[in-house]
Amino acid sequence: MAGTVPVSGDLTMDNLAATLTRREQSAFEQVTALSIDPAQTRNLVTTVSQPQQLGGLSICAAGAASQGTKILSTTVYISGTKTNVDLYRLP
Amino acid sequence: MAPINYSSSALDADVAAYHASIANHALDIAKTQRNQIVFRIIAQVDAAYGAFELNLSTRRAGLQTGGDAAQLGLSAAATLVGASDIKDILSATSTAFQGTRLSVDKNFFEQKTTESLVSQMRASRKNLQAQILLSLSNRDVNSYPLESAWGDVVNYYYAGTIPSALVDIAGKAGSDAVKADQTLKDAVKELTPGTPDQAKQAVTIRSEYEALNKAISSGNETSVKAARETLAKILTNAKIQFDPGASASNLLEVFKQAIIATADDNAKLQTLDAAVKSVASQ
Repeated sequence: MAGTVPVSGDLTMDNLAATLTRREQSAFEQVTALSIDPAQTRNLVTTVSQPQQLGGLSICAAGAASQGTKILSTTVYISGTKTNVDLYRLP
Repeated sequence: MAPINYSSSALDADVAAYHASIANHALDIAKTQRNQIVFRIIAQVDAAYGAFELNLSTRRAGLQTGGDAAQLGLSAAATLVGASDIKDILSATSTAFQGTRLSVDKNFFEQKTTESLVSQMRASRKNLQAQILLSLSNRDVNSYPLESAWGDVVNYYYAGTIPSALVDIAGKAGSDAVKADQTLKDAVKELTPGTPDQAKQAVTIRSEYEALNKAISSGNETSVKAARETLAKILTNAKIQFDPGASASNLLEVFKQAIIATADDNAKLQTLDAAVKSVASQ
């Protein structure tokens, strides 16, 4: 199941983070990359297999303070709009 | 012997006449001579190809082993039909070209039906012939001299060979694979959107899995037994079938597969979450 799969570009930050968290927890995977799909208004997430349980994910506007450890900074579609965000791993 | 014979001596004479016309600046005459030479060669190649195609279909059908078929198929047309001066000249014109064609994997040939090979050869020949005829019609000897036409005729000749057909099929297959890959990529289902509540459910379920996995991995008999009982309850409450006599490890694997199944199914996520919570509350 691991690999690169599309994710809706219409989600809020909270729901995108929840979608990625659910994926990691349920599919025994870990998000390694997140970006926009250059061909469509949607995002692409890349995952690898991960046997150990990881903390949840949180997404906030780039530069905003958040709990956890920042995994990556990227540009994604949030509610259909390109947005610069930071992805955090919660403890 | 091909029904239309164009000997190498006749070709030499025609080429000499063509060059004489060029030297005399009789370009219209030279164009006519060029065209006649090319048309006669094409007729010769067509005759050889017709015999080759028939030969291929009948002989390949009768061959017993793949090795025999490969030996037949990877031979150029010139080796399968009667000797012909023009074909010999064409064959010798570009050894390097032929070598490239012969690099095709024999196994690839064996996977292809005669019909697909013949179809590809016909299509390639038709395309090249159309290009040649268009150039002969529209271009003078300055922009399309006999030497250029000769190169196109050599390509036309090789388009009617099995190695060429295999290369074309392989190239087409590669192109199709790229398109198919893109189509597949477009068709990949998007991740099922999740809500924060569903993310919490997924974390809860996964945490229970980790706890049970830790207990079973400990090897402690009491812990393993307790984990097995918990797993049996969870699976029963979630209405997931399992072998009542299965070990704790096997039940843990059933639980894992049930978790994976919730990744794209909200109903299953809800059910499994409820099953886990019901056991935890006992």
